[in-house]
Amino acid sequence: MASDQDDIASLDSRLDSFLDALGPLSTISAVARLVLELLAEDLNSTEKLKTIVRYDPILTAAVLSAAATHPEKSLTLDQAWQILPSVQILSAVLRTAVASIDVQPHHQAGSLNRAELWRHSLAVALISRAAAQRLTGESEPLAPKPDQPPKPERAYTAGLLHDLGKLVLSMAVPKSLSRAWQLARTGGQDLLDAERRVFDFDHTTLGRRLARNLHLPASLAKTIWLHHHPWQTLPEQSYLPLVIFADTLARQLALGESGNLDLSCDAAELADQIGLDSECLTDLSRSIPQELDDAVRALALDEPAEPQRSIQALARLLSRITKLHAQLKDELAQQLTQLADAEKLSQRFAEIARQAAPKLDRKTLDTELAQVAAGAAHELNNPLAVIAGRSQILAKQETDPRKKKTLELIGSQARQASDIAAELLTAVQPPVPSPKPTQLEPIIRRLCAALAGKAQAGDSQVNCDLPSHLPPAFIDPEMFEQSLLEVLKNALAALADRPGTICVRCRVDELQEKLTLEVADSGIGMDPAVARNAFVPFFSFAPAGRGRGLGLTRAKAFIEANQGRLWLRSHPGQGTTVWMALPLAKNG
Amino acid sequence: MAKQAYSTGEAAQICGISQQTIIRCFDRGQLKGFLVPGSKFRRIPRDSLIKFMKKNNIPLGQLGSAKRKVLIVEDDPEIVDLLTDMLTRDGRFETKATDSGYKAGLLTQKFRPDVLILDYLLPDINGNVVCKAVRNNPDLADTKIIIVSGVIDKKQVKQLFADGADDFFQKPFDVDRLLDRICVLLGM
Repeated sequence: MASDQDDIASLDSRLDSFLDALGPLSTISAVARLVLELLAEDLNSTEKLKTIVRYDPILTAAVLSAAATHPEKSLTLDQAWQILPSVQILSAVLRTAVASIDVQPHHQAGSLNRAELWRHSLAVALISRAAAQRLTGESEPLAPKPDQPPKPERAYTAGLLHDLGKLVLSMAVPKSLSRAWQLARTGGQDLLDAERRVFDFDHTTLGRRLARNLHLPASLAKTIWLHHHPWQTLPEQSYLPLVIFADTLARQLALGESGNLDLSCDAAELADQIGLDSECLTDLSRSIPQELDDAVRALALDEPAEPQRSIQALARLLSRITKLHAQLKDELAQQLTQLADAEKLSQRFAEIARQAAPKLDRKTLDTELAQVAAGAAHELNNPLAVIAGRSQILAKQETDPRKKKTLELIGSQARQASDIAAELLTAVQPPVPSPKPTQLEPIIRRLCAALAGKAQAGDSQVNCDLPSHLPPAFIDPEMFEQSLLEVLKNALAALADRPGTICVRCRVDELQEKLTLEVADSGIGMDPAVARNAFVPFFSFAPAGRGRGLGLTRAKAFIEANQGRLWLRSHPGQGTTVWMALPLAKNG
Repeated sequence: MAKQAYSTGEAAQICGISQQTIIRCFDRGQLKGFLVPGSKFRRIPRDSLIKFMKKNNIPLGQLGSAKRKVLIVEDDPEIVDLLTDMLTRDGRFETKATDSGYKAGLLTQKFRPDVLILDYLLPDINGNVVCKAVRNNPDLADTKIIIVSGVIDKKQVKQLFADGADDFFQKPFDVDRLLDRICVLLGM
């Protein structure tokens, strides 16, 4: 028993080192090109992107893996698309797409045709879904459980990903996989045995390990692992019977190629066992090939890779992202840095960006916006001064109280207009900071105490939890105070007059010479679309006229002017957390 | 326009002291003035007399009630009109306006304003240059300078005060507050 466990542990560690060496998952280059070209055209075309992701097993796995961090377990692709911030999805897809650019022009895949393997996965997915649709509500299916009819979308995903291990092998070691298939074909060996002879493991165990490492749902991992087993012997079956049936039918109809030539099972017999009648089977055999052709066309599977086009698209995409950076820069950067291999990715991004677009200037847009704001502020102030001044003089002479009030209103509105222009200017063109070693604790405590007073009025609490010896930060104290004040004001506003908590915490990272201040509120939170625009000038969550929507813009600009970073994460109904990373004073 | 220079007799009358005292103070240099060329007649410029009276706590009397001079340096005619209107309505001010830093330099010499209302961003030079030039001229030591400007950051404002500005108003400004400030600066 102990030796069995040792064997499993040693197998797992061998699988892990194999997977580690692969780096990020990659898919077929033509699919990657399709994704990059689509996003370069329009970063917001998420529906089109979803169609591609839905047809591609590797991209689907990447998105489901990104969704695994969500508190709601086992999200389907549709749910992930709805719930996750789109930037998180984008970064997962982009990461895979970038890793899939095949820069070696004559990369040999041996005699293995990856497109055929992809076609096979798609065929199994389509059949599994169609079968699940027939079974739902009809007859008394054996699978997966009598009280839980199979959900078509989950059946589809199970089918699409069942050969995950094989797909990965085909990308990483195509020649060896081709050799294993050859062995199976000529030697009459079982495919899994042949694979074990070549690799020391087979695609089902590799797939299981990978599914686990990617935190894919357990039922999915089981299908990936056990789809070569007779399901009838297993206690818990989940989507396995459907997928085994679909796999068999796909091979019988010669839809794609999977390397598995074993046709000892008959699709008709399996159909009967899971509760599908023969009429159904005939229908499926007729409709699936057409559906498959459509999917393959949508995925551009049969088109050449043309890596040059991928790189050009990536360059366009980078330039688009650069232009949109006011909205996306930090969130995306934040998400990317959180991913394990983000550093490699950003290096690759930078490298490709250098080669493809040497003139790309990230700061140009900032400068232009600042110039526009400065010009507007200057040009507006003279006419506003005339309006305010004239209305004030007229108001003084006016005896009719109603007219007097109107004139005074004109004056105050003109002054307000000028304030907005000035605020916009400071937000996009912060003053030059005078950073110095600054003890943050007194500032934080003072602002928290002031906020606590206001919060108590609404039965809310402010918790300020700081480490005992906070080292000094290297920052302009006034700018820090203004930024923190804006963040705290936003947190209080997010409680929206309902009792809640605002927690202020601080973490010191001596190694990286920075400290991170966290302001978390239990307020109404923001949906992804709002959160994405939180730093865009004039984008306000408050009702029109209540806030100018410049607070967070300015807070971020001030912190960044001091070589710090400011970002946030928010979930509707759960609240918002804002982080400020600040440099520590060198010899503090 | 008020008289620009007084004889010792007129000065004595204004101050309510004897002509001899005025002459003595003039000769000792306590009261600055000049001799009419080719004669021994002493003449005392208005500014100098006011300075002398203030220093010796002599009530300004009729001199104080004379209109105070304001030079507006601003290139936007609408703002000039507004400021002129504001000061004229008050009734205690005599105004002149110019639209560049260079002309402002010439006019201060001639017009001897009590107050300079100065736009920071002028077509030729910035307000701080005018500010420094005024402060480097001892004849204009009593001239008050108020900068009025649209966009300007805190550091620039700080620099303006260092260069000798007496106050700063951001556009759009409160007409009454500006007027009050002028009066306070001039001790009115």
